[in-house]
Amino acid sequence: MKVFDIAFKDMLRSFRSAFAVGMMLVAPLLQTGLIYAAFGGLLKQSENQEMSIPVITVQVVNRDLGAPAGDLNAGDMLVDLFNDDRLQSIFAVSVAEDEAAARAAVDRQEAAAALFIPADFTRAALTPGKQAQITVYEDPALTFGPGLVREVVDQFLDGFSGGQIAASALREQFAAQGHAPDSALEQQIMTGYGIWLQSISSAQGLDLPVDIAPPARDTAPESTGSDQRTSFLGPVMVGMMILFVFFGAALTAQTIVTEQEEGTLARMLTTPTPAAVILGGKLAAVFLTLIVQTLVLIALSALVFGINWGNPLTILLASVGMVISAAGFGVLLLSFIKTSRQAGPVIGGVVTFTAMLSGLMTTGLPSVPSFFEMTGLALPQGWALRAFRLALSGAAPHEVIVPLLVMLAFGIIFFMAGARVFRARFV
Amino acid sequence: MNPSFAIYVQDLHKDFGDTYAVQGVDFQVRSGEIFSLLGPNGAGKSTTISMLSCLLRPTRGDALIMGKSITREPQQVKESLGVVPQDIALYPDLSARENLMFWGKMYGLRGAALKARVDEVLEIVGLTNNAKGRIERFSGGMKRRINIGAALLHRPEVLILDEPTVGIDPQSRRSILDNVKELNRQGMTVLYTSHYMEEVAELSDHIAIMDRGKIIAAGTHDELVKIVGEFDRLDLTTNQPAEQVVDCWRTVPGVQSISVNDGVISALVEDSNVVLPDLFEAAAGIGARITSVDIQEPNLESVFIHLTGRALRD
Repeated sequence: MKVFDIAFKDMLRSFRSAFAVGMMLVAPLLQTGLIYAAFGGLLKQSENQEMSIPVITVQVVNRDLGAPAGDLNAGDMLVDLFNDDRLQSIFAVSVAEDEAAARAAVDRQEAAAALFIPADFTRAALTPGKQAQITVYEDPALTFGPGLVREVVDQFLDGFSGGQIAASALREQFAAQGHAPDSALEQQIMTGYGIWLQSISSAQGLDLPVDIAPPARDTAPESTGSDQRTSFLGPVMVGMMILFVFFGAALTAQTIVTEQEEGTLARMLTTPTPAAVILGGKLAAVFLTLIVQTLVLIALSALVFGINWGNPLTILLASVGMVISAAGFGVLLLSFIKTSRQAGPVIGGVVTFTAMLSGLMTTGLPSVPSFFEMTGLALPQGWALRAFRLALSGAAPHEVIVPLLVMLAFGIIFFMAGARVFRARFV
Repeated sequence: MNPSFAIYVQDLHKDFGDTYAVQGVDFQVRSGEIFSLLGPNGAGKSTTISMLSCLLRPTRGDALIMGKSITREPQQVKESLGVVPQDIALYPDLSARENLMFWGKMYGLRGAALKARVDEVLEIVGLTNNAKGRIERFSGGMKRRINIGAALLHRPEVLILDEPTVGIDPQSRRSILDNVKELNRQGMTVLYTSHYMEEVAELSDHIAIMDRGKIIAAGTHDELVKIVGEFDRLDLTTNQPAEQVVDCWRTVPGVQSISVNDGVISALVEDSNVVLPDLFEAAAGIGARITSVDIQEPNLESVFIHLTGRALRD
């Protein structure tokens, strides 16, 4: 019972301290809020707007003379592709008088790219062993539009490769049977393939190289917004929460040193309260304070920032591991500190440094630098980060068992080492 | 060891490496009396109190408090002991009532009984109207009173007060001394340490004078004063540095002992009527002039000067 009397007294003092409340609760929420304020507008914009791509203007100069015989014209086929109804919302194609005019249009940024289809385009496409080439002149300031144009052209050219493959296979068959290659037959195959390609593109339309679809939406726009906030702010909040929970642990454990200086620790030892009970009470205070801190941060961040923390049991397990490892960390850290004057710089330095090594400062990045992945393995904060990342991604409880066990091991080892030092100093 | 005494101290020693803080202290305190340890700072009073409070383990020796050994039965000792530490040992950011409630729980009090006792103690120390105030906003005297109150919650049989009136105003000091007397009237045994002779003289049934870790004299006030009963004490000031004058006065016949404290020269002399003119003459001989003279009745300060050659406040 006295253990809890001491623990609740310490908790009361902690939560009455503006500094302690500021560091444990306000700072992590404020840091996350600042990041949300800075970048949250981007999320809101994407939540409210349909996905759209600006129309890509293309100038075309088609000099293709077509096939030597028949009316097959690959150049016309390519222009028809860009003018397909299904691509009308993406490409706006116009025919230029000549190359110079097309280039000038791109230079004036009136077009994203210009296509120059040479006179022998069809002939090259139907000639075995020869490659048909198209020149794409693009605006260097743009990447997406010209890239899409190149993609369409490449896929169109790939369509003719079927004829090249058939001709090549014929040549190999002739060679395998000891016959000389028959160029006329190869030409016939490639021409026939080109005519077939032209006929099905007229009848059915070529398979589009670009597939346009709006983003899949689940049920309501709000869930998408929450998912976006969770994926963006969730890791940031996790990093801040872990950092300040470990800070809170050290801050609460510091009361052991403070009470020694205040004389209240000695006074407690003059009462019929065993030293082990006094130490137990101090340590229970650390543990209980961190539980309150974690619960408040998770609840408030869900309420204020709309972060979806995932499976409640997963979060509970991750939180238990974090609290136990942080409590042990705080006790061990304070066991080396003799005065409260030492405590500030030591706590601040060690907590911040280990937080950096654990990758807590880079949680907002798309991927954690590999260096921090490695160093995080050696620190309880790194394992807490793993556990909470899993929780945010919707992991099931059993998926955080390993990080939980590692954090428990850290906590128990730190706690035993720290308690041993405190017993020697105070008991 | 005789367990019939409330406190029985036998051959208590405490060493800190090469520092012998307490060297073979023996004394006994009867139930219901006020016993004082008088001595200057560094005499070993607080170290002795710390051992009796079971905060420090004696290097050698033992003590019984209400028949329980401080070395073998410390938890039982603490149940009958109330300790008022020299420094304020309270939580500044908690209220007076919150502090007392906590300390009461540390002494095993709970529930309605604790609440009633806290109200009672606040009444005893005269701070009922300040119960909700935070300790950090209290005056020094108020803090001292709550500091004492926290040791009374469990109605201890023995109360130890370690220099409880240091650094407080005269009114608060008066209040504390009256409280101690009242508690003693109600049957509480009190062990009181101080370097203020006047307090000790007013309160104590028995006194032990400590210096440099040892008890150099013990007895009632009258018994101790009789040690220097034949000597007058002169407190003098001069217009020259006291150290220069003291050197020439040591050789004046009739001067038993002499010391300087804060520029005041205290001299124990056989007969002030005879010695005083000689002191004037000796001072004039080195060009000094006596600017004030105060003749004191023999008191504990005189005893200390006589025994150690130093003032209590050196």
